[in-house]
This record gives sequence, C-alpha cells and structure tokens, in this order.
Amino acid sequence: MSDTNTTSFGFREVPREEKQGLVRSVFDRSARRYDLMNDVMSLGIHRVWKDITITRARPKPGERLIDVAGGTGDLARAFIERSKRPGQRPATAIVADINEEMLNAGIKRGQADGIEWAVANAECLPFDDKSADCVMIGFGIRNVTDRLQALREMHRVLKPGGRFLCLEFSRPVTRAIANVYDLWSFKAIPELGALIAKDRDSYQYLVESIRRFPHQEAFAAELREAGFGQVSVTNLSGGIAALHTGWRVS
Amino acid sequence: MPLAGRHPVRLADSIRLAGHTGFALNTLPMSTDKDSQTANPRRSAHVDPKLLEILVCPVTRQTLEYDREAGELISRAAGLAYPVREGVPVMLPEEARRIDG
Repeated sequence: MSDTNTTSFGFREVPREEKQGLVRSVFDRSARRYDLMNDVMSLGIHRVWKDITITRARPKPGERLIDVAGGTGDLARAFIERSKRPGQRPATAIVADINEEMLNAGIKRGQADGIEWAVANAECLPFDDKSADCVMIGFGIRNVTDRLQALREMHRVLKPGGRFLCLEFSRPVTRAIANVYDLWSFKAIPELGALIAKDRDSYQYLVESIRRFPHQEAFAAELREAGFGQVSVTNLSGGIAALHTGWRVS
Repeated sequence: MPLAGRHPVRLADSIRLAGHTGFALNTLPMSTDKDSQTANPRRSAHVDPKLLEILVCPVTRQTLEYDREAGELISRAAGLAYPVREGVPVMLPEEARRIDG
C-alpha cells in the first residue's frame, strides 16, 4: 500500500499527499453536526457500540487514556466516568485529533475533569513512548492515510501491558444484513447528509470509505503486523461495526 | 397589533426548538459558525502540566520547551515552534512556525 502513489478517498483514487487535506475538509465541514449525524446514520446504535468498547477497555482509576482521532471526546468522557471508584483518582484522557474544529466542538460541549486536548496526526503522534495505559481509536482509523504507520504509533505510545481498542465500521457477516445495510448507506445516508448537514459529498465519502476498509481478519492481521499481541475481533450488530483489540506485550 | 408583536418571538422560539431537536439546524443563521472560535472561559490558555509531561515533537520525538508567554512549544531539533491555541497544542509540523538554529 505504501509503495504506490495513490490512496483511496472513498471510491476515488487520489494522490497520497492529498488524502489528509481531503479528509480534513470533510470534518471541517461536518464538525458541528458530527454527533447528530452519527446518531441519525446509525439510528443511535453507535452509542451502544461505544458503550461496549468502554466496557471492554475496563477503565481503572489513575489510568491514562489516549483517544486518537477522538474528535468530540465521547469515548474519553465515558472512559473517565467508568473509571471512577470511591476515594480514588479517576482516569485521565488526552483526546488527540488532526482536526482542530472537531476538538473545538468537543471543548464547547463542556470541559470534563481530566480531559486534555491536542491537535495531532495519528501517523506521528506527539506523545512519548510508553506513556498510556490504554489507546483507543473510534471510527478514525479508516480516515488515516498510512494505516500501518498509525497502528505502529499507537503501539509505540502504549505502556508494556497496555491495551489497544479500535472501533470501526466493518463487513456484515450475512448476506441479509449486507443487503439492508447497502440500501441504507448508499440510498439513505447521503440523503440524510444533504438534508441535515447540507453536505451530501462528505457523507457520500463516509459510506464509500467504509466499503474500502479491510474486512475483519485482514485488519486483525494489520494489528499483528504493527506489533500488537493477543489480537481479537468482536463483531457488533452483525459485523456492521467491529471492535478490534490488542495488547502491547513488551 | 399584538399579533405582529408576538410573531418574531414565536419564530425565534421555534428556531431554537428546532435547534434542540436538531432537524432544522440549517435554518440557523450562519453567524453561529463563529461560536466555535470564541474562547471558552472555563479553559486555561496554557497547556496542562500533565499533558506537557508526555508531549514530544512529532518529527523528532524529542522533548519540547514551553514558551508560555509566546504560547508556543519549541522543538530545537526540528527547528519548529508549535502553536498553542486556547490551551490546545497544535502538534502539526505544517502548522508550526519555522525557527532558526
């Protein structure tokens, strides 16, 4: 993948150096309505997926989470909330996102104790080696230009014994689910994007980029290649989304 | 003319209500776009010390000097000064200021 000069941007092939800017413009345009559109597009189910992700992350007091492509910070907020135990210092989180508008939208939603924000590129994270107990990326890895490089970076910043969780759209596991899902995403989502966010193109990109993303097993192999151990996959809603987890072993 | 007097109020209310349900957000005036630019009074203009502890230059991965006055994180090795905007460090080389030596 990294030895070609083009990369996917939805169904289009674009020069590699252009993808980051194109993705950025999608999120600049959609930042303000991002949370709302997630609710509409997934019929609210993304909340359930995120809740499952946090449960699997098993947040503990005093831990540090780095939420990569964390956008408005909903995973980080939930992580901190779930880490709370009486008489102990809750977890803290850094929300890193390449898009300043997304972070601003998150900050505007209200400053939560223990959350810090940083504009950062997942392919070259500005964090020290072995600095996080948990690293998460929710619906972000799909938008990264060099996915393997981003996975290596997330492995690098994890402490040995730290855990990595990646929530992303994936492949429906049955034909029946796939048919309904195709209809919904190619017919309904761009229309909803046009109606609510006045931005058909961005949502057209979203559904196309989901189809371009590797299937469950292929992506699990990429995690292993980046250095993660004990990689596992959990299908959510029949594979419409998948939760990939792995550990930094040493 | 009570009707004419009440009308703008009701219209404004319905827009606000629409904003809450979210389904008519595009009827809001475009000036709300500027909200995201205004400073959040609850946020400090400075980088949190706990965040500073683990921040490194994304190019060289070396430690940074924090210039609080200028609001910049300086990477001598990369010759870059990363801006801090409303307490949020912007750790992208393409957003950084080139510095000499």
